[in-house]
Amino acid sequence: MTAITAANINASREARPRRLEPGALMIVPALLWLVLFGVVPMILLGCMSLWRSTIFGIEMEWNLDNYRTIFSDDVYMRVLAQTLRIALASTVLSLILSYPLAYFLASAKGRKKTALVLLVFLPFWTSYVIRSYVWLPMLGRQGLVNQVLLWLGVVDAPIDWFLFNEGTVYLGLVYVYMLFMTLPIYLSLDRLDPKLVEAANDLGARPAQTFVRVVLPLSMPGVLSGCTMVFLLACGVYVTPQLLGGPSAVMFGNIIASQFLTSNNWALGAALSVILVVLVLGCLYLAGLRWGLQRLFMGAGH
Amino acid sequence: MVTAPARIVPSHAAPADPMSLVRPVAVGIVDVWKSFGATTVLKGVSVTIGKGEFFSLLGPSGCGKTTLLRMIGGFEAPTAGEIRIDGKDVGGLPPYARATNMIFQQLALFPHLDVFENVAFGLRVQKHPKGDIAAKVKEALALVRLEGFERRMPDQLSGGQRQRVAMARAIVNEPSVLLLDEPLGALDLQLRLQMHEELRRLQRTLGNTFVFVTHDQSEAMAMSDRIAVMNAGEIIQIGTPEEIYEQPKSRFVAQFVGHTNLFDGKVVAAEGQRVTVDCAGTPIVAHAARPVERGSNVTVAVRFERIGLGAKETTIEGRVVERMFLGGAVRLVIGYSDDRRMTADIATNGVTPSIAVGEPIAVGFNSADARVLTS
Amino acid sequence: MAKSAQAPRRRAIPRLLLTGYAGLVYVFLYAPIAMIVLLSFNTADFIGFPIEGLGLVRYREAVASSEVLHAAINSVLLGMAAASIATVLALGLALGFRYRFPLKGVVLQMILVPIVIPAVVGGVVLMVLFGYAEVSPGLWTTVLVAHVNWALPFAFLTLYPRVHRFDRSLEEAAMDLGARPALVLRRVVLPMMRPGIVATFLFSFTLSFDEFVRTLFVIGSDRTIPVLIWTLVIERNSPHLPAVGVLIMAATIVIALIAFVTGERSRSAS
Repeated sequence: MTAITAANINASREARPRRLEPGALMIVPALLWLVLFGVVPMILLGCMSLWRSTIFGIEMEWNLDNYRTIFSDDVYMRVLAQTLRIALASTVLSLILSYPLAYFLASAKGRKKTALVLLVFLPFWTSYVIRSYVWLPMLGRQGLVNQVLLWLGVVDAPIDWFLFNEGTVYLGLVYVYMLFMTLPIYLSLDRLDPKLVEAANDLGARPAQTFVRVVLPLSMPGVLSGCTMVFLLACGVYVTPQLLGGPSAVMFGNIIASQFLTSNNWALGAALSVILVVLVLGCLYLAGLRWGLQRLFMGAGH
Repeated sequence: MVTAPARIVPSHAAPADPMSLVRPVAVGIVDVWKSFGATTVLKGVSVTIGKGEFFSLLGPSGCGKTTLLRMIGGFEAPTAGEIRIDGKDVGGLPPYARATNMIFQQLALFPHLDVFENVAFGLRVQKHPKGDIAAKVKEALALVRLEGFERRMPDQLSGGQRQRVAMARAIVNEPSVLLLDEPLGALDLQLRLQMHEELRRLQRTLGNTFVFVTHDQSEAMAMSDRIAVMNAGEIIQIGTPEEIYEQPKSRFVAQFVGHTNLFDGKVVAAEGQRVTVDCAGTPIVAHAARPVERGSNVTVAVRFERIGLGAKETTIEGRVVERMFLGGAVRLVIGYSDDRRMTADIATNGVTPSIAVGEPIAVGFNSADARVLTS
Repeated sequence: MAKSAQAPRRRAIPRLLLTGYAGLVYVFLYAPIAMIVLLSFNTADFIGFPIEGLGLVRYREAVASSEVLHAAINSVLLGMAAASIATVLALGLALGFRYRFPLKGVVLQMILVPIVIPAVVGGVVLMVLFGYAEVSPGLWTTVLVAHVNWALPFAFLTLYPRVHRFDRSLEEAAMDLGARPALVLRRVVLPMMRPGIVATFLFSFTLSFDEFVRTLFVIGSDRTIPVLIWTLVIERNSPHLPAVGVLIMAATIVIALIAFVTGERSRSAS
């Protein structure tokens, strides 16, 4: 123990909580990483969006040409609108399909429940490239569905239009993101105090009334969380439309990728990326304002 | 699977009930059994609750009192036996089809609705005319003294206020029977005592039948018209609070309700209702409601507060082992007859007797205060 | 028996419908996977129906293929490296967050925002960074960074609740017995956090193993498994693709299950 001196006593009397405790220094390595590989690239991206791409490389001349092109050229605005539309439709479809599943899981009991939930999780632990790809042999000319239809005699020749259109993208997106919608809703319903349902019954509400008046409103945080996640994921998706969409279902992620991988117009790609990020963060911010970010992210940290 | 006994006569643990002669019956429970898998929670329980009564089910945790209450409310169905409300067999009727309303232990207020909507829930759901709803809600809130709280949310209320909202929500539907499942457990002592008064007043004003479940005997005695003492799935005794307190029929009731000394011994003399019992060398003069035989083993119950200083019909001499000051009385634990212990609450009446630990002492009680237990 | 038999029947119908619907969903989730498994045994030299015969031809092809082998080794080694780095960084963050420091909210945003940024953008920004710094794409340079970037926020979210829940009185007891803070960390906190750390490592490994889009932008001529699968799909439609897919799925599921079980055990331990 330190000797009790006048200096020590005075020090402890004046002690205020330190603004920076030494233990906090443990975050420094990660912080350096985040700044170098997280913050700096984003800043660079922003700068690049204000420069120009030429066949010789990047001209670091500040200008707004990229943004002008994007907002004036019909193509980009159309793709943006298409992206939003597909994302929204997929979100709604996903919600309709996932809610009953979440309800089913939440009302299961005991070890069966863990098993059932695990079974829903399992497919989502595989690479989503595979999970997007599977619809090709499923719906293609030599795919399962066509084979079954031919075998049943429903059609004479394999159907072509299963693949490479907007509908396929809906299917793919719902399939790939189902867990992100089901999980938050399940967590929300699972947390519901069963006594509230009993109380509603006790007060005279029949099962349907109890669902509409008590269960549904209280599952809203989960619904919002799921919808936000699926919508944001769908806005930035690349693999599914690239693989299943064909030319009629191009989404924003695809045109950004093509700027960097094919067209070599990095500046334009950067501008498109900035717009996408602003869109995504903007939606998140608005949703957070309305419903509280804590509630939206309740599913994270599994 | 439990099997109900073949006989129709209720088991000895359910005493004959004169209630039905006095007032109309609100709730009739006839030989009800309940099992959850391999565990039998209720064993042939029968009781009649009269209209307008404040009736309590009293017992330790696990005795089945909450299960019985839930069966009246429709949340559980009996494995065997009948439940009748207002004369009708309610059988497998779900809660929303019964004229009962329950106040849950954790209150179960709807967190997404404000006070007004919580209270109005039952009325809305039963398609009550809209114009009436506001008036009825207002009336109910006034009865529980929560006027002005309509727009508050449950998480903005204190424990006592939430309690009262739960009550208003239930009584606004004018149920035939109001069921209360240990609703005061979460409140601190002061608030709880206040609520005892409130509940009693409410019940008298409304006139509904209240069925109250609790493990706190002082609570049951303070509020009830009649009490059913339960243990291990059976009803041990039914009676008014005075009957239960003064004339406990069994060891269990004597110990569960009030503070009692229990003396085990052999009957050495019996003259009508006055018996002398030898407890390890100490003679105790007691009162037996039913005749007992000489030589039989009995238990004598004496309340702590019935014992006083000095000699009486029964005198016990010993040494003070422990002394506790209780405010209105001094509790003395007295050692006698080598290794026996007994407890006496000596009223102070403002003057605390200066008795110290280790001092010799003589205490006594009269035969009227020493009852021989029948089981 | 006074009990009415109607009540249970009334409640059974909607229950049956719900269970039926859930069954359909499970079929929807697993049918494509089952189909791929089936196709992987197809001896025909194209991917699709009708099934000509069942055999292990495609599996032998897949295992014998050198590019598959190389990609697998790349993915595994990369996964271990990325998981190690991500776990160490996340541990530093999680432990550091127990103490006071300014701008905690800003740091939290920095950690979590990458989850929200679309994968394409996540890959593109690194492409831009490395392009600007004139670092040529390589597994152990650019791809490793991309994988750590992706895994770090999830590693943090896995570790942080466990660290947060850690019983401080254990540390206080250690200090009372004379241990200094560094020793307390080494001998009390970290050992007790071991299951959580293992779970985080395994989870980060699976995230790295399956990572595709970000990798696509910063990988050069090397291949990780997801990138290889993509190449097989887009460029060649090789018949042994389903076999490769099944092998990868099985491996990922096994690792994920181990991570899940370890995670559950650590949650009940802490």
